[in-house]
Formats: sequence, C-alpha cells, structure tokens
Amino acid sequence: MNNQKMSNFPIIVFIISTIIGVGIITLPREAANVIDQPNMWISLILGASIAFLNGLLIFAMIKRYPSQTIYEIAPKIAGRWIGSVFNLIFVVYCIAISAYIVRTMAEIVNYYLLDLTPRLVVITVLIIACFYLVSAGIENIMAFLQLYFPLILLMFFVLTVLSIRNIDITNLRPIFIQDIGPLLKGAKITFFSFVGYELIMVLSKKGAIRNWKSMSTVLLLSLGAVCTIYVLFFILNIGILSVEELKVTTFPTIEMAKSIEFQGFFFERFELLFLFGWIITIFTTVVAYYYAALLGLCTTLNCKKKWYLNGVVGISIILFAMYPDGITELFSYGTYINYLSYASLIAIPLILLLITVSRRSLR
Amino acid sequence: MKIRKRSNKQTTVTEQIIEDFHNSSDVQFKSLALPSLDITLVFICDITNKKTIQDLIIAPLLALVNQDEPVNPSSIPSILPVEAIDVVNNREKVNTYLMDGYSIIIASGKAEIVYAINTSKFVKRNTEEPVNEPTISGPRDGFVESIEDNKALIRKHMHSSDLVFERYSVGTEVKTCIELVYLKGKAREELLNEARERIDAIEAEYIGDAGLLEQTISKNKYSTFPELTNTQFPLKVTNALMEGKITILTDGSPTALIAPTTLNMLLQTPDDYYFKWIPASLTRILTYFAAIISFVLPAIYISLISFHHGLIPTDLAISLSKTREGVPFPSVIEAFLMELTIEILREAGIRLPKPIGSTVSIVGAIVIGETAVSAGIVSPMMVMVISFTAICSFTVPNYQLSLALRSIRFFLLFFAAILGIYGMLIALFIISTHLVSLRSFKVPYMEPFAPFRLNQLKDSVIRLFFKQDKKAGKTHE
Repeated sequence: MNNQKMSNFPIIVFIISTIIGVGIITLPREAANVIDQPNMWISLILGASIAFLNGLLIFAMIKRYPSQTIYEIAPKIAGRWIGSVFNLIFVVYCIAISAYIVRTMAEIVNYYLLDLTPRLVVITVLIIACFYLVSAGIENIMAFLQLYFPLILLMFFVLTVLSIRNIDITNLRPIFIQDIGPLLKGAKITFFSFVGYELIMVLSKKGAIRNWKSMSTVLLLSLGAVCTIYVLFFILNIGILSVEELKVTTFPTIEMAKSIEFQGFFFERFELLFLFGWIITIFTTVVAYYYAALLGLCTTLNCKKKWYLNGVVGISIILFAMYPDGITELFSYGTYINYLSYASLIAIPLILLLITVSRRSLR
Repeated sequence: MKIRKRSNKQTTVTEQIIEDFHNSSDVQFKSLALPSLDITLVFICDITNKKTIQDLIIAPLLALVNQDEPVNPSSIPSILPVEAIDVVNNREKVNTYLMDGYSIIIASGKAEIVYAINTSKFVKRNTEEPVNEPTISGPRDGFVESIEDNKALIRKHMHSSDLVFERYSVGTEVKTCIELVYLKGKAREELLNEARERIDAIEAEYIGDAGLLEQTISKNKYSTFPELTNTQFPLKVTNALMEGKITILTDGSPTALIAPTTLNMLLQTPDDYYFKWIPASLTRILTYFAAIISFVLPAIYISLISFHHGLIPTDLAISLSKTREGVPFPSVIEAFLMELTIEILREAGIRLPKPIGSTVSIVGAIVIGETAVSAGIVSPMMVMVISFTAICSFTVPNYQLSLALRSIRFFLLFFAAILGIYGMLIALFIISTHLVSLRSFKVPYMEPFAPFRLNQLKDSVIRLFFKQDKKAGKTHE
C-alpha cells in the first residue's frame, strides 16, 4: 500500500505542474469577457468537471493497453498510417501549446522584467534549459518537478495571504445569479485552462496508471488541487480588480499582485516576486509538453538518436513561438490551439476507444 | 619501482631482492650461519623495529648455533617466539611483505624456504581532532594515516560482530591497500556489489590518497559535486554504516570515503545529533539557508541592481544609488572583482603557514573593507554582499560541497549579469536538472526532496527526535 502511494505522488505532482501555467494569468480576463458575472468562478468548477470526465475517457482507453504510451497504442488500434497521423497530431499539439506558453511568457517577461532583451533570447534560453532537462529522461523530470513543487505552492500561498486583505466584497456580489447560460458558455473556456492531464497518455508506461481506482483518485486530486487554486485566484482577481476592470487588463493576476502593499518587508513589488514563481510553473509545463512531443517523435519515427530529435523539437518550438507578430495575434492563435486540443484530447481518445470497443464486441 | 616478472628460477631469493630493490641502501641483509643451514635475514631498516628483530628473530636463532644438532628449515616457525609467521614463495609477495615492514628469513639448505615475520614500525601520528571538521561536544578522535589505526578506531566506536572489513589492493604500478567497510545486514547487497565492481575496475597507476581514490571510483566526471562524502571522523563513519552505507578506507590517508552520498548528507554535521532536536533543527535550517545564500546572493544582488530596481524598497534604492556614486565599473565587473579578491585571499590563507595567514586576513580585511571603498573601486554594499556570501559559504560543513557551490556561484552570476533574475532562474533550472540527474552509487543525489521521501524528510532540513528515527529506519528496510 505504501508502495502504491509512493508511485502515485510523482504523477499527481507531474499533472498539477503541467496544468498550472499561462491560464492562471490570462484566464480571468478571458472568462470575464465571456461570462461577465461576479460568480464566474463557478464555471471553473464546471470546466474542471468536464476535464475530469475527459480524463476518465482517456484513461478508459489507455487502461486497455497496460505499459504502453498513446504513441504505441494508436498505431496498434488504428493501423500504422492512421495511427502515425494521430501521433503526429498529438506531437504538433504539444509543440504548438508549448510554443504558445513560451511566447506568452516571453511577452510577460519583456513587459515586466527585461524590456530591452529580444524575445528570441528569452525564449531560446528557456528552451535550452528544457532541452537539457528533457534529455535527462522522465525519471529525472519527475524528480525535478517534485523539487520545485513546494516552491510553487509556497508562492501561491504567500500571494493569497498577502492579497486577501485587499478584497472588496462588493466586487464579488451578487453570488447567486439565476443566469446559468453564460456560466455554461464560460465552461468552454475554463476547460482549456485545465489542459495538461492528457499527458497521462504519455506517462502510461508507469505501473500505477494501470489501476482504475488509483488513477481516478490521481485525476481527482490533481484536478481538484488545480481547481482550488484557480477558484481562489479568480475570487482574489474579481474581489480586488472587479469584473469590469478584468475585461481590459491583459494580465489580470499580475496586476492583482501589484496591488499588494506590505511595508517593512525587503521586497516592495510583489508582482515581480509572483512572476519569478510563475516562471517556474511555466517551465514545468513546457518541459512536460516538450517531453511528450519528443517521445511522440521518437516512437513514431522509431529513431534512436534522441539528441537530434530533441533539437528538432526545441527549434520548432522556438520557430512556432516567434511566428506571431504581437500579443493580439498570439492570442488569436490560441483559438487554433483550442481546435488542436479538441482533436487530441477528445477526438483521438474517443475514436481509439470506439474502435477497440467495437472490435471486442465483434469478436 | 617496477616489479617485473621473470621466470628465471636460477637466481636465489637474495639475488632477486637485490635486483628488485636496485641495491637500495635501506634494504639490509644479515647472514647467520647455523649448523647445516644458512639463514639470511632481509629487512628494510627504516620501517622495521630493530629491537624486535634482535629479540625475536636473531636471538632465538643464534641460540641454535651452540646446539650442534642439524636444524630443519621447516622447524623455524616453532623455534621463533613471534606470532605471525607466513611461508612465502612468491617473488611479488616477498617484495610486498618487505615493503610492509616484515623481515624475511631465507633458509637456504637444499632448497630455499622463505618466512616473513611482522617487525614493522612505521612513522605514525597520534589521533588528533580533525582540523577541517571541528565539533563542539562530540568525540575528538580523528582518523590518522595508518589504515590499521583507522580500522581500530571504527571497531572502538562500533561493537558489532556484523562490522566487516574487506581488503583490496589497488593500483597497477604501485599497490595501495584499501578497505571496504560495511555492516552486514544493514548495507544492501546491490550497493556492496556496485562498490566491489568499481574497486575492481580501478586502473590507476598509483592511489596515494583518498582524494585520488574518490576521483577514480566516482562516475560523475563532469560534475562539481562530490559523489562520496569524505570525513576524518570515525563517528561519522559509524553513523553512516548504521544507515546502511559503505565506507572505504585508504592506507596512508586520514580521510574515509562514505557512499552513497546525498546533498542532504553533505549538509549534516555530527553536532546535529548531539543536541536536542529543536536547536539541532534550527541549526540545520540555518545551514541550509546559508548554503543557498552562498551561491545565490551575489546573483540576486546583481540582478536587482542592474535589472529590477523596482524590487528594492525605495529608501534603500536611494541610499544604494548614493553609495554606488563614483564607482566607475558596472556592478557585474564590480562583483567579479570582489569575488576574485575574496577567492584569492581564501586560497592564500590556506596555503600560507598559520602565523602569516592571519596577517593576510588582516591585510585583506583592510584592503577590501576600507581602502577599496574609499578609493571608489567598489561600493560598500557590494563589499557587504560578497563578504556575507563568503561567510555563508564557510558554514557549509563539507569542504568539497563548499567548493562546488563556489563554482556554481560564478555560473549564476554570469546568467544574472545577462538576463537578471530570469537568467538566474534559468541557471537554477539547469543546475537543478544536473543535481536531480546525479546518482551516487545509484542513489539519487537529492534524495529526500527530489524523489520525495516523506519518511526520510525528518532528518533533512529539520531533525526530528530519535524515537521516530528508529521506526523510520525499520520501515525503510
């Protein structure tokens, strides 16, 4: 039993570190634009529930093929060619999403920290660090995530404690609104901030993932933890900035952290302190997707020279990330990534599951 | 000193010895003529006890001269009153025994029969308190250069029949004796095999010191972090043995090597265990904090000064900019200058004899603390930051770890100078990746933290009371 516990913990850390990323900074604005209600955090819970159901769907599929990743399962079920196409879609999705995250981070770093440094440098340096960590293998990636996990939690905790005084309760009211329509619509957006759990398809070589019960707890725990943090930050955001202001601020959470005033402490500007912690979460997210993309390429192409492919993935992330001209264009590319997520999160697992189930029943 | 193998059986043992030792002046021969038997006594005069030879070998043998009976060579062991007598016929063995301070008796009657008798007397130091690892209340006996004494020290601190010493001799040109120490039942068989494999694979010409041994058996050649803990404290060794670790002793070196090593282990001091757990935990936290400060602080200062003024409280920022007035260099150059001075001072302090060493520190303190500031080369704040960093790095208990952290400090400083705190974070990611992928004898280097182990966490940043420690040990088995 003890053993089981030990093997689940790294996976929970992996999923949580993967999920928390850009969403925590940009989501309040996106949600405010669509939902426009002070109780919009409810749709976060809806989004998390959808994500949980989707996670169960994914798990129902990979459970049938123990000790194999999605990249090995897909060609086995759908035939070699279609399976490879599925794999490539997934790889492109991973690369695209990491490029999107890295670019958003570069924009924020440029805006708040290093206004003169070229974005290319900011991105490249991060990708080099990713390259190194990914080449160390999945065991070490997990160990790395465990090393920084307490730091991330500490950062969120400190920020919450410090900013909770600034909440203006009137901004949060009214809590009970009859209009459920926008909340449901909002769930479509909030759902994407929980993206990241799909990487269990890549981790599924681990023994612990075979067990249905432990896996659903893993999903529940990690999504629940992320959902708690997000809801907390939504409430803080709405309470401090109000919904109207959220709509027009590009990076609401950072602006929220700016409002913290805490005399007598060594640091004066807390949004920078928050940014440093946030860059860690970005790094962990990008590393996870980077690894997933690399593993996909390696398995699909059946290539042993990981160094080359690692470089290919890294360079393509940099190229994708440098492609949008400005931040508005970047955010518009976000919608394309959403389509890719639909494909790789819902469509591919569903198709694969349907094929297996129908084959079994035919027999 | 090459020991060549020859199949020439014509030469006598005496001739062989003369040839192998190239007529060295300290190899001495003494012939005794017994009835029907010629005896030659060979020994190296500087490492043997002459009185022992006289009393225990020559005197009993000379007593036989008067007896008139023919002496049988094989009865020599029963004539001599000495405990250790070995029959040796191998040329290399004869040489090894000679070099170990044994006296060789060559009885040449019809055939040559060779005996070795332990008469060794080596130059030895008494056990003293290790200079590098001072302790407040613990035992003060430290290892010395003789492996026998070191083994004795470990035995003295550990009354257990499970304590096992395994002798190996390593080195292709010159043999050195090393001992693998472990507690049977505590040390995992896997770990022992790994250690044995690594010792067998040594292909160095000469292992003169534990430091050389450490480098030859460690697998992380490109890492600045030590893969084995070195200590001169017998008690630290016995503690490690109790935890199921292994220790390697090297003959001629006062340093024992403990494996596997984790970063956590390097930050522990024996004193942590001698005090009550609350003050001990507080000291632990302090050590961890100081260790982190010792490589992070200059980088943070540089990035705050050159990139993120906003993070500094306004009042402090104003006074800071005032102190930096008139300093001609960018703060990065300033930091590198100061770091360099500190490192040079530190090296000078180590190399110089003690009386002059204190002069250097006074000169250094005055030059750096006063003159450099008043000359306008560096700002006072920079002096403070760098010297505080240096002091923090002195709190790191293990010298090799503190060396490793010193090199990391420059790496971080470089990144911070280019990209501010963002660069520092990236550098930290790279270093953490390296640390996380390090293995010491197949054990993760960051063990209680990075592959997270809840039951080992109570002896890491904090040190909980001992009752729980024992339970944890049992469940861990």
